[in-house]
Amino acid sequence: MTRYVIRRILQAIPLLIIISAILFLLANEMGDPLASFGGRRRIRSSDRERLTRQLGLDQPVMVQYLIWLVGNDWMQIDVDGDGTPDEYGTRRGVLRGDFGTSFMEKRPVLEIIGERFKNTMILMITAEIVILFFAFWIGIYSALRQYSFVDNVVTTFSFVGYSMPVFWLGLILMYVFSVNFKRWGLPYFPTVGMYDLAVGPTIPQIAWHLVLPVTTIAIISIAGYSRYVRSQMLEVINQDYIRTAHSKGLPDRWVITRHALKNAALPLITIIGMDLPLLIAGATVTESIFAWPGMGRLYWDATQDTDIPVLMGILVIISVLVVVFQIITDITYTFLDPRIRYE
Amino acid sequence: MKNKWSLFLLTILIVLSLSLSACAPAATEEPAVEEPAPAEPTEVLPEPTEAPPPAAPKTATMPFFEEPDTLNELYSQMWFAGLAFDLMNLSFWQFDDVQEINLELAAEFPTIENGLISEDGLTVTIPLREDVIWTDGAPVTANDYVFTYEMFMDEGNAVQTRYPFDTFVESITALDDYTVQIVMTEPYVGWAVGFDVNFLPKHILEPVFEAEGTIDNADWNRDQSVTNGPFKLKEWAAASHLILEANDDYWRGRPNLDQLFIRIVPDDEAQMAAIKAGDTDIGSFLSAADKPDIEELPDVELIAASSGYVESWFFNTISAELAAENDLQAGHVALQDKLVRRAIVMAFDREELIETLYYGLYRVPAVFWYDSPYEDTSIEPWPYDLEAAMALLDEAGWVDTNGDGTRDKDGVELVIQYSTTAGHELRESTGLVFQQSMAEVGIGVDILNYSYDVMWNSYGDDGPAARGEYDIVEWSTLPGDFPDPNTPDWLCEEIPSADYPAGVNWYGVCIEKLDELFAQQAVTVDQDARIQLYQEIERIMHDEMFWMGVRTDPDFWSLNSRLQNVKFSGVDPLWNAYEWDVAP
Repeated sequence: MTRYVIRRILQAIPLLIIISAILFLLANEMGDPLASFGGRRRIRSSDRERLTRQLGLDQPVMVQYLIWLVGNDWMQIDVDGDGTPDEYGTRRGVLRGDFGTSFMEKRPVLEIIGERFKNTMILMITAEIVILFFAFWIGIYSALRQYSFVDNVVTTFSFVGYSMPVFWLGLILMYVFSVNFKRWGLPYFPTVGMYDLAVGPTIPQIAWHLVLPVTTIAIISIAGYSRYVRSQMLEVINQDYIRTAHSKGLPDRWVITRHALKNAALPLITIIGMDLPLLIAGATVTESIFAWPGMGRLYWDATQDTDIPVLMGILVIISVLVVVFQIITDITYTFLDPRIRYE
Repeated sequence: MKNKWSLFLLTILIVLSLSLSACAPAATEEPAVEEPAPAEPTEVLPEPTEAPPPAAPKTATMPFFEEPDTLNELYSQMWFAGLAFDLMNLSFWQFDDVQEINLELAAEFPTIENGLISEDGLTVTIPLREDVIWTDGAPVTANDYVFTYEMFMDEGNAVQTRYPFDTFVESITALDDYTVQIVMTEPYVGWAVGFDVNFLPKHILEPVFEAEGTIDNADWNRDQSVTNGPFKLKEWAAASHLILEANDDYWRGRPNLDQLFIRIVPDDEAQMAAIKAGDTDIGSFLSAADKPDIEELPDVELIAASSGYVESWFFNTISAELAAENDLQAGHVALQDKLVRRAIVMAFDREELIETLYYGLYRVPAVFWYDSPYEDTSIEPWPYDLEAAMALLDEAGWVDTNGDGTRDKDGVELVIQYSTTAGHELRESTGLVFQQSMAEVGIGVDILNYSYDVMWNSYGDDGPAARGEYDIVEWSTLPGDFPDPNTPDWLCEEIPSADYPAGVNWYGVCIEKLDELFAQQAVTVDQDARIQLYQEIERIMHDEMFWMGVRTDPDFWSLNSRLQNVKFSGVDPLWNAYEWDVAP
């Protein structure tokens, strides 16, 4: 197993470098990083020329990628724009832990990502717990009572939930439970933010502000996940070994949890394993609507501003996590299914 | 089993309800005010009385659609960042709600009459107030301004723009601790706007600059514990909020508000929900489409602040000769004729457009400098008159000779290209309305829109607008030095070329008389004389019609009646934040 994990990690290194090069090329094609520098006015040509040089955007894309990857503290750069290299650069490159500086905020990318990371974790981990809890319960219940009235109702609501646009659902929840509940004199949820600024970031405040964004994310995801759980459970509960377990007189609960669910969970682990890295990426739309200061919004803002260092920082971190979680998922298989061996 | 399931669901619901109730923040109660007990006369020392409970801080809340990328003016031209700068930092003066000067750090506004502007208009001397201090107690001096200028110009700093310092300044010096002198290389009439930047604290940033060779990454850029404005930064949680607190040392005295909460709300619908729920006192960056929602709210009003911006059409008057000479694309040959340009304007019903697309909230501006002292109010917009428009086209020789429904002349069909910024729904709708309107007078319109990051690329970057790849192009613009009217947009020398890619006259306008008038106003310090010059410019522009105002473009704000004394300015929007107060 150890050799397998080491081999996978070594294989991942060139893969990640190739991915990062492709992402860098795509990010550079997204737009002009200086387009939003003028605010409501057009940026002057002379300022554009100077900033292009100062931000290193005057270099060919592959040179820019090289600098992003390995830094420029080993090469001389032209600081004053006279065409002659003057001094060594200060960038150390991603391989040495320097993800660069945001074009817009002029701050280290990792510092910016770090600020948003914990907020996204609060939102997404809570949402994921709610999603998994309800998705498993609904999925299992529907599978055990296939085509019953409840199953049909759940199926209908699942399709409705799955097809709802997240921005629409978020705004509807906001208008009903924040705006109208307040108007009707009922207890109401806050519209935006992580906590009441007059009170501060207390646990009850954050929990209270989490309700609507978590509900928005959960309703749509529960709908999708519960269908996976239902279909996997349906496949398993008709297997011979389940019938055998029943005929041995084992209690229903035991058969469902120990025999059926464990086997049904294998494909679900793959889906969850693929989804977990995306938790880090946050929920772009939900975070924007509820003004939740997380990674999703950071990604959106960086895309809008073509802030390439920030964009690359987020994408590379997600890429690394996808690879890491794939390895973890593969390892988890061996615990769930003893037949799987990697040696 | 069904009962069990129902019980389970019920249990979950109860548990969730209880949990949420527990999570709900405790309702805040107004501090009870007790009647003070009447003092009893006694010979012994009175018992120490309990201090009255502190009053709740006076707080106002406003959303920002975008988070400021920095709090240092050198590094951002973002509108919202500008709002934040001005709440915490002072410049020489601000422009109030009627665009009059409101002195801040300057003790006196320079004029020729008071001798603070030299006769040749090249030297401006600005005396500073001597009672302004930074929040750490250091005095705000002329040396801070000189340092700010040096930071703008230093190659080590990746500032967003050096204009107008790099264009007009010969030197900026501190004559003494409280007198700034600016010497210009040529007269610059926009000096009162261009040189009016927030002062940087030299005593904080100079050591950073000396150590690092740049202030790009200075902590002060985001952590402004040392400021000189009405408010100072208490907390900035990235992407979430900024909390500003009153500056006790503000030179006018402590502001009425104790705190100002700025929430970053990037979704306009969410902002509207917050306005409706009363979660914010001010709403910003609103549009005409928000009018019906705001009108439903009894405590909220919609306020328009003239921003100087005007939604404009620019006609491409680049001739074939000029295009060949400067490597540009010529406009449609018909647009060389001012009769055709005027006909197009008269065939397009702007009043109807404003009524149907913009809830009637705007008006048609007759001149570029509307709502300013420079506006010639005797000029009326060209009226919507289809008959007159068709007569003008006939007079210009553009008639439908081949019966295809489109006018033509010398074998050239009158089909023009309209362009605007892609993704801007209302502008795109305007294009469609324009297309339909022109069909009525026999003009064909092709629509080709560009994304905003492509549209405004420079001549050197093959920007479609800079290269003349349009016949009519629409966007919102304002005079370059607003609220000063000076603008280089229509000067002959500003037509871009390979030798001068920075040119800003992307429209090929070159009228000798106009150049003369713009040159004359640039050195005219007398306000009345300058107004006369601008009114002459406006009459030429109205006659030549190379620019058309589609509609005025003010900033829209919502204001909850809880917050009082708020006067929005189109130049420095939150200029009187020190006077804001909450209703008792």
